[in-house]
Amino acid sequence: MHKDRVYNTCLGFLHHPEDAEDTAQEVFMQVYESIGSFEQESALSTWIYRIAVNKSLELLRKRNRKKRRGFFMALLNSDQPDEAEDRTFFLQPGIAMEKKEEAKILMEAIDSLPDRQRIAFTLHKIENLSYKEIAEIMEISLAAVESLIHRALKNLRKSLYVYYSEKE
Amino acid sequence: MDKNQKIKQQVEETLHALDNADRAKTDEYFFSRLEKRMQEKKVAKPTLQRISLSIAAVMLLILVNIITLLHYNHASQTSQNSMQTQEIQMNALAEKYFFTEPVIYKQSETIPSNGRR
Repeated sequence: MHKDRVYNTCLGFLHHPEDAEDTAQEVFMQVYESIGSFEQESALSTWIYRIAVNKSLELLRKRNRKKRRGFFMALLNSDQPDEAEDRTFFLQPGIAMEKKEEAKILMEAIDSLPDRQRIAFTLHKIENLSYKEIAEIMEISLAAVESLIHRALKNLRKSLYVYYSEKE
Repeated sequence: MDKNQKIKQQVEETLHALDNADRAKTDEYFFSRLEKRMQEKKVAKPTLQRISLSIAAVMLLILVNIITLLHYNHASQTSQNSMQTQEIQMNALAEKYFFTEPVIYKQSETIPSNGRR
């Protein structure tokens, strides 16, 4: 079902159920409004995934801008609570209890990756998409996807190593 | 196991933490909520269109006013210039043919007096 794929993808980027639902709805609204312009060069699911990724990243950028503004506002007025800090980090279901902490650490590390590495890695890990499907969604070559995933893994290993070293 | 090895193992375990995650699902009311939102958007759209139309009308009115004002200014400037040129020409002509303005006291001197003064 498309709705679950879209919702899961949005949740993979946003980690917040309400935001993910809201973004998934926006995705379907855009699909409805621009279905006429959809050229059947790619599969419908590929096109929908592309919209879902773009909408999620759009919201993340908006969130980051708000967070920056909130930071400066907090500097000026320290009594005001920081809205961004109140967000609970929601993880995908099915993760074993003892793995939840590690999963959260991994997701936070994924969030700090550069955009393209993050998209490729999230689609691969969260949506279990093949490299070929990711290449179609991102409109890049298969080799480019392999390279993005390879670099993402390398960066993740590095940042996780730093995290655990500091924790020790 | 040394510290470095332990951290590396932790890193590898963390990288596989999402391996058994299931796909998150929305409830069965997702499309009902979507439908409602789309209807709300459809209702809101004409209001937006009306606002943008009135803004466009006001802008057009302002534009017409500005054009008229500019045109009027230009026209008055031109007529003022032509009047000045005409005056200069008249003065030149008057100087050339010794036309002088009649002076009132001289006129009164020319009035014949019959000695009764």
